[in-house]
Amino acid sequence: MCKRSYKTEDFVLDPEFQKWVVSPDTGTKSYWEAYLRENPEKHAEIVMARKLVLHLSRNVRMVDDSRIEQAWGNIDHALNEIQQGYSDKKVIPLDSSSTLRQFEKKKVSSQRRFPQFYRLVGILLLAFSVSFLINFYFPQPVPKIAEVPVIYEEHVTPPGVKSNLTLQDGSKVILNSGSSLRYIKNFETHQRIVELRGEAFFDVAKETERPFTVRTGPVSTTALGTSFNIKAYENESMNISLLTGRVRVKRDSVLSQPVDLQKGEGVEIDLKKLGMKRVIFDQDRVLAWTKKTIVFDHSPMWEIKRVLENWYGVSIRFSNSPHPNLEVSGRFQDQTLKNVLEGLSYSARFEFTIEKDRVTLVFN
Amino acid sequence: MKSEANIISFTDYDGLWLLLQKGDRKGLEGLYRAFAHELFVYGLTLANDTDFVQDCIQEVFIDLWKYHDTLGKAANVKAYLFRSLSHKLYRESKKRSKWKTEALLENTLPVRLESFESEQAGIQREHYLQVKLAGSLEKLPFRQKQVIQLLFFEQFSYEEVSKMMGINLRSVYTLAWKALSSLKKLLITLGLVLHLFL
Repeated sequence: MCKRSYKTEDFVLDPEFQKWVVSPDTGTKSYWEAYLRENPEKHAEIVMARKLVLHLSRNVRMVDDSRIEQAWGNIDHALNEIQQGYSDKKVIPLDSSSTLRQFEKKKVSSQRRFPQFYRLVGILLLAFSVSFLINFYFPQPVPKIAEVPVIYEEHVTPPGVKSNLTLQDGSKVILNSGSSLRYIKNFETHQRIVELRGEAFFDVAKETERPFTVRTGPVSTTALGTSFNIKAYENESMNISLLTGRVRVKRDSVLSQPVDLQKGEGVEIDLKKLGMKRVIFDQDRVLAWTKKTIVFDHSPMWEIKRVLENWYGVSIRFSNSPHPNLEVSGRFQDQTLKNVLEGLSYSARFEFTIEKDRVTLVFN
Repeated sequence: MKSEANIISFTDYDGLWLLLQKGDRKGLEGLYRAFAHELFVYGLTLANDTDFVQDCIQEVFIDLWKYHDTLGKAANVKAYLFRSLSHKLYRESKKRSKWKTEALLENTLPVRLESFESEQAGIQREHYLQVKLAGSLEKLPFRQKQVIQLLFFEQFSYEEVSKMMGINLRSVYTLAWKALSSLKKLLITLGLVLHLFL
């Protein structure tokens, strides 16, 4: 429906309108301002619609836990009865005549089943041979599919390098080191899909008609116009953290139901398990990497190794393995590798040597 | 289990559904515990009779158990349960047809007003209007009430609501339109009345 013919009720039913009334942002604000300028006669209807959206309320009646328990008790009881019923039905009469009758029936039916079986085989054989002959004499033309060449755009950041990208649609991406981003050049007409490995921060340009989806393995995160961070390094659990707007996260599994995130919420996904775990994240920490800051918060040594190798483009070797329960915290803004290692070495108790891009940590 | 669910609002509904399909009662109980509160709240917005709603919820779960080996994959467990409950309420209320008299009786449960959450600070709302709108929402016909509850308060999408109510998208829209139209009329008359007094 064209928005110019909107009535009060249509405005109320328009999710974009609701959003503008309840939690406006610059996008919705400018849209509805322009709309009002072009359609000044709609002013009164919009005022009424806004009033409706704002005041629409329902009475919520709170049921206390005892009733919920009581209802479960009733259900449980009913289930027991159902199960009782099943076992009752299985009781078989013991008298001899019924046994004899059963055998009689069986004999009759087994005699009848055989010719039926052969008849079925015959019909199937005939059907197969007919369809084979038809196919043989009248081969169907193979439909030709016009191949549209798909050109991918790919950005790869080697360890030690981060990169700021602006995509064709205006979305901004900060790609962390050791990550890659791939998408169809200029996107498709109805959707924007990018594939990510590693970590990136997205600030998505708003296009209501063309949702923006980030694929990370079997997980897709879909947004219209929002900003969020995705961490998807191989062999680690995945983290999606939403900063503004709304996104929907879905796993490819049929069983999995999508999770809608509100701002400030995140999900953690362990690909080895079913489902997703909602988490509240620390914004400062999640975005630290975009501000040249490394944050460790009770991080195990394997994570520290991965982060530093990636960050500085070096390879780190442990001599003597660290204590398995060792967790280290620290915050380093725009520091050299030497300074970071020095900072960590006190709490984690190691000595280190740096030779070009080879780093060795010797644990005490 | 309970405290865990409170801190991180996450339960593996699909896992519970699988358990139920296999005939494990823990699956059924898990689903009941996860959704009982929401189902009661939703049921009570459609039928203001706590015992009646409780009966219907019990039957929904007993049916789930009876037919667990014929259950398919549920794409959205919550939507499935909401749909089953509204069907049950609708059918049972017709059968009993005591619905209308019952709705007039005052329910003794504590009532809380619920409106759209707003991220914007300083939005002024008139409590009086909220109370009036909530009241007239309850007096709408069953299906109209249902569509408003699902779309506005339970935050289902138009597509989901269309599947849940078994009508096409166009009809969902029309039904919601009619409901809003009566609510709008209420606002207009209230406005006129206020005008006369001031």
